[in-house]
This record gives sequence, C-alpha cells and structure tokens, in this order.
Amino acid sequence: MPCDHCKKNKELKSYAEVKDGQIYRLSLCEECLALYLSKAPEFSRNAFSRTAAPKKAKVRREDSPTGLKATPEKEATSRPPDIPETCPDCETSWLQAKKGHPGCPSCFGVFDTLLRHAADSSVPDKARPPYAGRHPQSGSLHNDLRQELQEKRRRLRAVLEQEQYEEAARLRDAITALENTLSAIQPGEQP
Amino acid sequence: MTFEDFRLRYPHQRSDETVSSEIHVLSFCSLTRNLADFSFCHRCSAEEKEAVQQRILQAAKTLSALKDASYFPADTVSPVDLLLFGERFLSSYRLSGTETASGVLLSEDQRIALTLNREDHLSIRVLSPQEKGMAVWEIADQVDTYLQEKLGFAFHDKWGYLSPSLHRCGTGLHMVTLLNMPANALVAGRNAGDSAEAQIATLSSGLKLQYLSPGMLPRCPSGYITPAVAELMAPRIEDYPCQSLYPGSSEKTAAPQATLGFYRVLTAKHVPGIHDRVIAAQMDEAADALILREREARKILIERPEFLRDYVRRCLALIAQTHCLGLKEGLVCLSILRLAAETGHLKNCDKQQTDLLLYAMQRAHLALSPGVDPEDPFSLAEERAKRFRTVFEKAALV
Ligand SMILES: [Zn+2]
Ligand SMILES: [Zn+2]
Repeated sequence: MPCDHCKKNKELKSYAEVKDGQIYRLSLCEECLALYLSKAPEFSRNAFSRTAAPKKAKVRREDSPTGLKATPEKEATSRPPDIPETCPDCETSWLQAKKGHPGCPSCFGVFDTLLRHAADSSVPDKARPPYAGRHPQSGSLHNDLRQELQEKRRRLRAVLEQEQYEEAARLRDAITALENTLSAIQPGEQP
Repeated sequence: MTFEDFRLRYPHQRSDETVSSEIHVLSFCSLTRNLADFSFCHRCSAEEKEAVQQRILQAAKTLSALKDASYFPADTVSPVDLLLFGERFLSSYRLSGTETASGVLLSEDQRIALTLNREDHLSIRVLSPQEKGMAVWEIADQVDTYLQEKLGFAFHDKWGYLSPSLHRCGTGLHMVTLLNMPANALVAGRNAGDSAEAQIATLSSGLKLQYLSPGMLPRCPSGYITPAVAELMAPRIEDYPCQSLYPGSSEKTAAPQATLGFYRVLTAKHVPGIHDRVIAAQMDEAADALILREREARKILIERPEFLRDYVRRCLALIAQTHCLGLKEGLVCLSILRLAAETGHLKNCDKQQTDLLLYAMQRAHLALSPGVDPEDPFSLAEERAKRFRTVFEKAALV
C-alpha cells in the first residue's frame, strides 16, 4: 500500500487521531508520520481538525486540507498492527496508553506514538518541544558549581588588584552564596 | 526525631539575623522522580512498593543532609496528623495511611522532605524561609544528582524524567515562592493583584501568581456546615471545608474564588523545552520584581500611617473580641499585623510567634490542642481565635 501522503510504497505506520468523537485513521510512511507529528505547516493538524466533518458525516478526501485520506470510524478499538496489545513489562494495555496512562518506563518505548499523541492532544495548539532540562548523565552540578566558584575567586583577585571595590563586594556575595550551596552536600559524598 | 517531636516542633523558626526580606515568607522546590527498575506506583505490587521504599531510604540515608532524617510511614500516622506535612509545605500529596509503603523522610531541620510512593515513587522537596528559587532549586538538584547515581531514575531523551502522568514528564519541577504583599493590595486596591499578575506575565510564560487559597487536598469528610448555614454565620466563619492552606495547588484542588489575606503565591511548573535552571532564574526575577513592588507600596503607606493604623485597629479589635476566627479573617489579620510590626507601628508583638501562626492557624495544627475536634469547623475557629488572642494579647499601636 502506498503512503497516504507521499504515495510511495514504503513500510507504513498506522496513525489514528480522535477529533469530535470521530477517529481519523492515516497510513503514513515513517518520514511522513514524523512530519505530521511535528506539525510542519503543510500538515497543520489544527487546520485538519477545524475542517474535519461534523459528527457522523463522512469525511471525503477533498474535505481534508492536508490532502490526507482520513476515514472516520465508529469504533476506536482496532489496534494498529505495529503496536503490541500490552506492554511486556507492566501489562498496561495499548488502550490505556492511548488514553495517556503509561504503566512503566518501558511503556514509553513500546507505546511511543500513542503516548506522544496523548500528550500533544492535551495541548492542542502547541507541539511539545523537545526535552531541554538537565540530563542525568551530564556532569554533576557539584562540579559545575565548583568550577564556577573557582572562576569567581579568580575574578575577585583580579578586581581587587584593580581596586574595583564595588564589583569585589558583589563577587564576594556571589562566592558566599555558592559556598553555602556547595556545603549543603559534602563533596566527599559525590560519587 | 519522633513523630511527637515533629508534631510539636515548628519548622525553620527564623532568627532575625537570617531574614533577608520580610516580604518573602518561604520558597520551596520539588522534583518528582520514578525508579527506572520498577513499574510506576499504580502498577506496582505491594512487594515492589516495599522494595522501592527500601531502596530510596537506603540511598537517602547515605546523604549527609539526610543522615539524621526520620522516616514517617503514612500508615503509622493518623489521618489528621498526615495533614501536618501539607500544612508545613513539606508535601503536596494527599498522604494516605492505606497506601502501601508510602511515607515521608524528613530531615531534622524540616527543610528536606522526600515523599515516597504516592503518584510517583519519589518527590524531593527542599524548603527554605531564607533563600528563593535558584538557591532552593540548586539544593534540590544536588539531592537529585546524588540519588540518581544510587537509584537510577527513569529517563527518556525526548520526554525527560518519566512519570505515570504525562504532564509531569520532563523536569518534574514544581517551585513555589510565598510572599506577603499587604501594602501592594492596600495601596493599589482591588486591581493590585491583576497588575502584579500582568507584571509576571511579561517576565515569563511559565509562571503563575495566585492568592494563597484554602487547600482542598484532604477531602473533607461529611458533616460540615452547609453553604446556607455558612451564609448565616458569615463573617464569623467561612465555609471552607478544610481550613488549611495549600500553596500552588492547581485549579482542581483549590478554591480559586477564595482570596485569603494578602499572601501571594508565585508558582512555576515544568515547561517543556525550558531548563530547570532557567525557570528558577525566572522565579527569582519575578519574586524580586514583586518584592520591589511591595516595598514601594510600603513607602506610600508609611507616608499615610493613619490608613495603615486603621487597619491595625480593626485587626486587633477582631482578635480581641471574637470567639471564633475563620481561616480567611485570621490570614488577613496576620498579613496586616506582620506588616505593622515590620514597619514599627505595632509594639509588644513577637515576630517569631506571628510567623508561626501561619502554621498554627491551620486545621491539623489546631487539632494538636487537647479538646479540639478536627472535624468541626467551629471548634477549629474557636481554637484559632484563642491562639491569635495569645500571640497578640499585648500588641498595641505605637
Ligand atoms: Zn510518506
Ligand atoms: Zn509498561
């Protein structure tokens, strides 16, 4: 079967979206699905949902501004073939995942598409930006702070030599604050 | 620390030397985490939850900041006493004695609290009456870094730290700064709150400014006065079912129409795509802006002392004359009298006792006194009035 978007014969992913109580099912290749999920302009999902046909009306191909063949279905129970029935680690069902209820860390791998969609549909007009917080494997904050402290101490010596006392007072405060933070956890405890 | 010690010893009694700003009451930062090797709590068996509990406690005990910490399993604490954790801002969760292997590990100084096996395996909370956002976050981050090495938290490159609730996936961050801003409200009138909120909005999209509202977290048992009766009794006692405070709760868990005193709660939660450190910095920036605003309002008030003194007279009269004192009235009095004491208009007022009333006026704390029925709002309001009378007995206008 060709991809609904690029019409190339590739390995297809099933994708379903619920809008106004209707299920719109798409068969896309991996690249087109990624593009769709990232909400590239030509795939604006908002436009898609705004012009989706009212309840129970059949959506014709030309009704969809994305040009995708979207077929409404009555039942939400048919499971896409590439998604397992349950998570092998915690036995959470795919329907649970679809509702946005993962049961264990493995669910995020097993039900990746379902969970991603569930998360995005709760904030409909905003695509979820990639995670930008701290990474557990990154250098420890303790070390970062120690480096920062060393740098501030070096600058303090420099500004004192230049008799910039205001700046020196500001740096001293910052150094005290850093030292207090660092002493909250003994350095020896850092693995 | 035994639980009895915890009940009777109020947290972080501050000495005047360490108070950086009278406007800033306290800040806390929470990070929620789940262990990579286990299913999420709602999918864990009792044995698995016991194992999660054991692992976290073992790891935490090796951290110097927690080496004297005490663990309070929820099933060993009465339902009313469990509210103490919320009333002292140590845990946001609705703790329950029926939950397996759940509890709170609390440092001796009540500044670090780990809540185990509620919605998430672990919630790390760091609380401080002195430091604000960034300083508090940095300590929480260090505890997190240390525990990560020992425990291994569930993490995904795209999602961040994993949680059974998708909206908590990410940094798991929740920050709160509590500010006492009576002058701002008195000077600017009713719109003060809105304009302060607008000011916050210009700083960051992830922050929220709310009023401190009565917590709805502990579900109220039946038997409370009906709204119609409460109407009759107003303003003696309000119909807040819980009589305890909870900062930074979501709309779902707090009564948004309830404006309690002039305490403002600045909150920040995880925003996808933004680093925790940036959010913490924005919190500080917003808090500083609000503090500056309150300082300016205080200058104006001090130029017109009769305006403030009139409020003080009303508050003192209310405290001296009433038999029952509601949560809302109490908080308004507390907020204004704190300001009066700080600006030198009130004498014979113990600042520390005034500060501690913020805890002591809430339900579970009131119920610590013998003879108080925690299920009866009138009994609670009576005890609250008694406590206010004791603290402000000798207080008088200068
Ligand atoms: Zn394609
Ligand atoms: Zn799973």
